Amino acid sequence: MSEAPRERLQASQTERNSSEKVPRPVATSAGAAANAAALSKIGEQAFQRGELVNSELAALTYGALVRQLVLDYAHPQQVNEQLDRIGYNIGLRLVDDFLARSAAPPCRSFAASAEIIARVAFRMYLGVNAKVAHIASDGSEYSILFDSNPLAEFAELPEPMKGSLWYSNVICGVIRGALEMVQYSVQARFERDILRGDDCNEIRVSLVRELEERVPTDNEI
Amino acid sequence: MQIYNFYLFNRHGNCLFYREWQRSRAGTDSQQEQQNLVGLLFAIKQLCVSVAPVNDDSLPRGTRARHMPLGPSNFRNYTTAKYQLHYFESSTGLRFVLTTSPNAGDLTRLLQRIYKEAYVECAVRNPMYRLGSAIVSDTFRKRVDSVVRSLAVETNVLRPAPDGQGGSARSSTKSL
Repeated sequence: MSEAPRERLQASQTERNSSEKVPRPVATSAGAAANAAALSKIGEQAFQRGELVNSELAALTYGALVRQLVLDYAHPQQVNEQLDRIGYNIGLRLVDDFLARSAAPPCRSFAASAEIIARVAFRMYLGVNAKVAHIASDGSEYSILFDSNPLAEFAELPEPMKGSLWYSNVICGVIRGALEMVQYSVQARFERDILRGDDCNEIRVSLVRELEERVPTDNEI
Repeated sequence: MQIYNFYLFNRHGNCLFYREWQRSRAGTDSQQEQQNLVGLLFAIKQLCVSVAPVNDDSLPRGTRARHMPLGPSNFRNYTTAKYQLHYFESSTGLRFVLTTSPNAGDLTRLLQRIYKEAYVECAVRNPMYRLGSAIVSDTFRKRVDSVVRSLAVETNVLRPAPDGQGGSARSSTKSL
């Protein structure tokens, strides 16, 4: 518990370095391929415009954070939760940064947010190219696939943790926090991780519900 | 053109920040005024959605079953004989409101700059700022001022009012 304030601070700092995580949502309609290319371009431009931070510094900082969490918590499962929480707090803030700086088009549907996250946000904050796959037929779930992960650049999981620790789980938290700020309550979780020997990284995002904006109630009658 | 007041509300209608530059009539109850303003903005937003044609941006187009929750409003400004109110809403539900003298044109871009240069840089990136609480930071205030002042430079905005308010207008220009 005493962990909390420190984590928060750390979270904000990493975020400030802006080479860190991730996403945020807002996307376009189903213009498919041409659309994806346009978004990639937007992502690339946003990436170029932003201040860059040495990726080794980011990777090492993140590694130190995970390492400390692994020491502090008994079970890798708990570490996953903490990383998700840290990411969530980052996401709540990062989304405004993303909206203000990315120039991404507004998103008209939940499914459309996928392309924005993958093409623009991943590019902008992590400097990697991601793509969307496995969109559920009702548009309420999708996967984001990416091959290289700057956070895990130097990491290797020890055998006992290969089945339990999601090293980059902070990204899931960021996606969750960011989407919540634009009224989508979602679950995000890693499905595959190269660190575990899979052939690529996959984050599964599923919509829990759409939040509604409530008109503030008047105190007086 | 003169610039009167600036308000920043969050999605829940809480006032995060308020600043006045020129205000010839003191408000009687600023909290009441802010509440009224929030009510007005929510009402306009609802109205815009219900009146707009179906191909409006706030409605899904070519999408499947699920669509976006009521997104940011497209409403930008309204003008009365005495003043003009400018409005910008972010996807995260922040509402930027600026009042100026009439015929100021479209100041959406100015409000977007406040979002980007003041809110994001001085509030969101400040680890000590708790989201949703009132912004008391001096840096933030100065940043808002400087964005607004840049407009003043561009268009020669904060000229003293012609009708006898010259003195007060000029002094507030300086206090910027």
